[in-house]
Amino acid sequence: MNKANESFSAFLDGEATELDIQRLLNAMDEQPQVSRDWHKLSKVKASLQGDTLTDVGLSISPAVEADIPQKNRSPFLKRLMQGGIAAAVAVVTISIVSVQNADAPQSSVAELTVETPEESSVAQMQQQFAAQQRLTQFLKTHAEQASFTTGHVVVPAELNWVEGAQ
Amino acid sequence: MRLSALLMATLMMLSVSAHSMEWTQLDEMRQAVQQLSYRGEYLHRRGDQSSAYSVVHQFADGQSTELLRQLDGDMIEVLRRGDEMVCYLPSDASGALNHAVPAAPFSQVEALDLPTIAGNYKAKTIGTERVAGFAASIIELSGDDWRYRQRLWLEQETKLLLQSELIDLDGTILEQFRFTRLELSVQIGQAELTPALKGQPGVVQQSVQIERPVQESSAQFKSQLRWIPDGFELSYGERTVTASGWLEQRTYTDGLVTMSVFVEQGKQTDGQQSGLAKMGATTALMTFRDGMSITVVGEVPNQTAKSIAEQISLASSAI
Repeated sequence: MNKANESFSAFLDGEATELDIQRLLNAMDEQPQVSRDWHKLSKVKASLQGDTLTDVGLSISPAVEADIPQKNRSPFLKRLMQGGIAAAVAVVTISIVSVQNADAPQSSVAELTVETPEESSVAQMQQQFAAQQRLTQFLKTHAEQASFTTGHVVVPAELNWVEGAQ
Repeated sequence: MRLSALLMATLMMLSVSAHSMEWTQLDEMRQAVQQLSYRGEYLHRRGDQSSAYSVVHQFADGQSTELLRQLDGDMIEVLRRGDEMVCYLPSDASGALNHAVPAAPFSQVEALDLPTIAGNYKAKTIGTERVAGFAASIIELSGDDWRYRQRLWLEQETKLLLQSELIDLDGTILEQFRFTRLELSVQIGQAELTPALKGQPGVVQQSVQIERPVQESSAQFKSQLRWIPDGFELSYGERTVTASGWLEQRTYTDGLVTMSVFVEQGKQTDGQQSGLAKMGATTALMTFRDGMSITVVGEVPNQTAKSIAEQISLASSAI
């Protein structure tokens, strides 16, 4: 469990590795209770950092989000906003908009669709999280395929890397 | 009457040959980026993020060797030799998630499928411009509204790609690659191709062998895609089955851009919200329906990704 907590801490700092993420997902699978603890922990951490947005229970509405100046965004929020997408490609202007509004003009600030259910449950948070991780994986796979056919290549630095000798 | 028919035929031949000139240049461009020796610096811009890189590229004995170095942010180096890549990064590089390095467009493409590209895009030379100290001809490739426009700046003598842009339907530049400094036809010494980070204490070294895709079938798939924009052909298909369900991946290309469709079954999909993310020209759409999680990723407009996602269903045999 300590390992998982360390991984969560790294996640909050925006420094989680794929291994950390995997560890978090596993821990959440085994002990659903743990995400509630982490939720509390992240609140404490965010308030220590003086962030206005401290409740990360996926209750970030686009409106609220737009009010948070870039510099005040916690690494956790940034990580959420990037949705792990940064992992795939060098990136990033990410604007995440809900599908229904996809045709609306995109603002320069990222919008977040983690819309939230009044009774946002741990299970949903977990699902959203897992979905983000899958998306990251898909983006990597796509980038790999694309590099053989398309003009705009990104050397995928994290793609199936085999650890080499130091 | 006969004269006008002849005139028409001549005009058609002229227009075809004018086009074929641009197509020939495209193939020369692909070869140039891989088979010339050069050193320089380039900018890669994706949406409103940009980064600078240096490149040293050598072509000798039928093989290209290339050293890429990120110039801003973390010091990252990528050494590419043929299909082998080695990445060097300091262990304290912040956020191991941001280590992708964009290489020159077309540098990993074995052969361009010119007939397919010509079927999907019109090519037009739209002018000349100076880039990184070299005169370049600008070729514009434009297709229907399902795909983005591309502009390519080719150095006039060698056809090396000096700049490229992906442009959306409103004319906004979504992605740009551009040399800011370039030395062409130079002798590259071994020292220049040696990563500065190599052998340094604390440096993490990772290597990978690039494997080119071989599978091109979606015959055994449980999901079906009822529609895709004209001109996109399946280039890769893979079905994996795990304890928690199956995942089917299809990759399509129109010769220039790529689009991947992932369909998963067995994941919890209740209460999941659809989402659309944009990184430069890459669109990623994730949606949930009928117990499936559907993800479309590609260098295509939002509407293209949405339309494709709507056309995924389970094959009747799978229900």
